Amino acid sequence: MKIREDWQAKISVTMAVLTAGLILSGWFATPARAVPSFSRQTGLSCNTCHTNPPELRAFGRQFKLNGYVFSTAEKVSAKSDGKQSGLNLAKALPLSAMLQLSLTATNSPQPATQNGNFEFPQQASLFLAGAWTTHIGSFAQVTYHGQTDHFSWDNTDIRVVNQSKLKAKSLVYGLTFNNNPTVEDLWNSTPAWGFPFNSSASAPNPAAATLVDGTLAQNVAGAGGYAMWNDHLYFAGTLYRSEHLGGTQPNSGAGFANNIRGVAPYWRIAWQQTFGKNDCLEVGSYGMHAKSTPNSVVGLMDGYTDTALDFQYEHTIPQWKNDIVTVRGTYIHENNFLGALSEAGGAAFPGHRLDTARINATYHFGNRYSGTFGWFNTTGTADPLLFAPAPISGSLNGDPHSSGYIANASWWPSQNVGVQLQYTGYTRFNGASMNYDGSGRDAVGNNALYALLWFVF
Amino acid sequence: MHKIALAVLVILSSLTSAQAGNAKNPGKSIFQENCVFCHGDDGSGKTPPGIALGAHNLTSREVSKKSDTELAQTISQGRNKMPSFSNKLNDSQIHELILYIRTLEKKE
Repeated sequence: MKIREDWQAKISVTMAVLTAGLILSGWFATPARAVPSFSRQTGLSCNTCHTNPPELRAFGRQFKLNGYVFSTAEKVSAKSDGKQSGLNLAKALPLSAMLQLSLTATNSPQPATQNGNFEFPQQASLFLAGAWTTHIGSFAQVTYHGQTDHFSWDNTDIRVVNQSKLKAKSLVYGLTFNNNPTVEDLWNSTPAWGFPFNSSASAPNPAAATLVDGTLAQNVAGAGGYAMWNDHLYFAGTLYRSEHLGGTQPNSGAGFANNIRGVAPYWRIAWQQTFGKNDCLEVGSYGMHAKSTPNSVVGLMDGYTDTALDFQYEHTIPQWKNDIVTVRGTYIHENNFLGALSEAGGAAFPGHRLDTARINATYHFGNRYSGTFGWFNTTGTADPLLFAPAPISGSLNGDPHSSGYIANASWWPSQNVGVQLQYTGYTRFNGASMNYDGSGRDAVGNNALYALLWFVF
Repeated sequence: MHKIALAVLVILSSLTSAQAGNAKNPGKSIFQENCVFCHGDDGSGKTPPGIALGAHNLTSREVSKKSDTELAQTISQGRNKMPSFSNKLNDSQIHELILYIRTLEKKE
């Protein structure tokens, strides 16, 4: 009897971890944001900051770097001196709203569910996005998810910023308080703002994802610093603690797959370089280290170390009416030691690696149309318990290998109204192309056609 | 954990101090808040967004030749991709800003 209970407990832990991963990756797969309150604040159209939302151009990166505070809008202000505090308050609260309606159809229906699935809405969001005062601004989002049928706190980045000089060159530096590693980043090559910018919330997602690749999104609170020197060299570092929405306070860890022990450091370094008027290149590295305990804040720990490389290249083509080509890529390597999970029976052994590579290219026809093609590949250590067989979400052979491509076409009839058609194709899903889950489902069965209509205003 | 909280407070304090310090030079403060994005700290316009948007070099002869009235009109009403600052900056602030821009010209 005891053996059977242990076995059931192990299965429960494994399923809880896999389910949490799938839910997180599902939520995380839909981060696209562009915020009209920034436009109202700056007096500039959306495409000054974005090629197409949420892809940032040079001005958008500078705006974010400088704490979202640049403004041409009317203010309520008072002068400050050494003894008196000043005031620099926008006359209008920087609020925006977003509505996303979507339709998803997979190649094979998910068992016992309808195919051709409408989400009305997939998401509805409110943003507090703009300057709070001279040196403090935010991108803060609250989102209603159709699947969970409630509002929840979404991506948030609150910044305190200032400018100075170092070695006679410009230095922008500040603090960031955020809830998702890489959400503070300036480029669209890192996970939080990377391609695909929107994706289905109902199509199956691969089971394996590295820690820095969205696994902790909205489940952590971080305080960090960042600096850009001479418009070229960017540093950032943040320390994260677990902060689970809907969890107990103080955090007991119960019901959550990752509970950071101590603090989890995240780091980022990047170099950006412009070549003439038409070319801009960024190359960089990021990563994080965390020790975590599943479902608890005491006891054995799992350890994760993620190290990543990324790049982004933008080329403007003057002879083609300033069309823009953007190419982005990232490679994430994770070493983990799942001491707690393996002891609980959620993994067959402690040591694993996971490698994710993504590359994609977008062609922007002006700012009205764009087409993107991307390739992705995740490989890692096979583990029959960590990636156990289960219909749709599981793996028959315990191999986390998933690979495929995403083709996306977007049409922007207005800069704040988007129509998107996206096709995701899998050549391998959770370790195999045929009968990957042990229930007879093939990887191509998860190929998904996704149509999205979104409004931001 | 206490050390981290203390470090955050110290940095916040330094950012606030820097804000108060800029208030002693209103033209520079206005320039820092509104112009460096594109025109850069030195006014050259050689920042990534400045290059992308074609921001003018404020240290150039072309700009230095312009009268205060012309510069005030550009700041107030905007020009090409530069937004209007008429809602944010009053005449006095624009005057302070022009005085500061003139000091950049002299550095050429």
